[in-house]
Amino acid sequence: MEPMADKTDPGVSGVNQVQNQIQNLIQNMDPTDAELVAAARAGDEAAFARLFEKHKSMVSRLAYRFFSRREQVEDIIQDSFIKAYFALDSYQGGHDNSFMAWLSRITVRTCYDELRRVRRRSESNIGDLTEDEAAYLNDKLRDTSKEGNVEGAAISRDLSNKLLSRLRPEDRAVLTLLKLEELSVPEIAEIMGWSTAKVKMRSHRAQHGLRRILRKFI
Amino acid sequence: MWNRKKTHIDNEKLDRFGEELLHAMEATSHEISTAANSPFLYRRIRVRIEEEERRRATERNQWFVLLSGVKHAIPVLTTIAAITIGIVMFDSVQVGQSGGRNANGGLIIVNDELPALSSDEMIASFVGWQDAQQNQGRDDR
Repeated sequence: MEPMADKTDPGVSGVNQVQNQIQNLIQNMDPTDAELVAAARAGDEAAFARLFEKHKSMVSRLAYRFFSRREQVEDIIQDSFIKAYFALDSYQGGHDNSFMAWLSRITVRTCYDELRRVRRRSESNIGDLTEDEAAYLNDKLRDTSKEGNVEGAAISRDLSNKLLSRLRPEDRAVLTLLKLEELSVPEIAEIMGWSTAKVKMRSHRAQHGLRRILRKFI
Repeated sequence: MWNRKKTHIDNEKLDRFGEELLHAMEATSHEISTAANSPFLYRRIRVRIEEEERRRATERNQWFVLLSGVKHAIPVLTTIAAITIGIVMFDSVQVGQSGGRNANGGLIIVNDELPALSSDEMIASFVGWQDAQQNQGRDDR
């Protein structure tokens, strides 16, 4: 009996080759977040490690919006991924960025919890300004000659953190999400689990709060 | 009027300064990647996940032990309850058959058949009992 391969039509073998190439391409493609989540849920440790590698920079960037010290940021990265790991079952995949949005929600909430914890434990002594910093602020805010030209003012992150830590955690979270992340009110409401009315009210109060803090230095 | 305008300008300036403060919190890409690529960061996450899983497993085991203990106790308790009910029912059937008398021929007093004694009868019986005691004492001497 002759082997099957000898009888195959050259056209058919060409189709097979193309099919194999497509399969190889698919295999070499990066798995989607949804696939990685499904694998991680099934206990695939490597899949979770890949999710971590893919999204750690995003989490780090978000954490730096709220905290200035690297150790704090590392703690937030750890806490966020641990929370995400144990909440994987509650993740419902959808469009491509869905996992990223889900993870950023967890990260923002972790930052918010940490802000509240820090405030509760009165660790906000870092809020005390040095004389130089107070003088610098006074100069900048009193300077009327430049018609209030404060854009691009060389504000150190340390000084900024000291001033912002005087805000209530919820006010700081809302301002950060609104002004830095440029999220809409409904988006913030979804992330924080608040109503849109509460977000609007909070942002209004936060703005007032920040003005009050700055006025003290005029 | 002038004051209101000044306050308005002040607020604007303060708001812009506030935004500058928020923007000052932005980290550079180098800082972001340094924190994200910190050595052993993933290892630390894995260790904490494993610790948490162990803690949850221990907690689950404690509940499991408690529930399995209760599960074993249920048949035992049911058997004891069945035996008790059986004994009570068997006794009441026997009382009904013996016409209110026990094996030695003694009268079984069932709650419903308790004779209703008046207070006078109670005193009379007590006095009679005391007299009998005194008489017995005299006889002994």
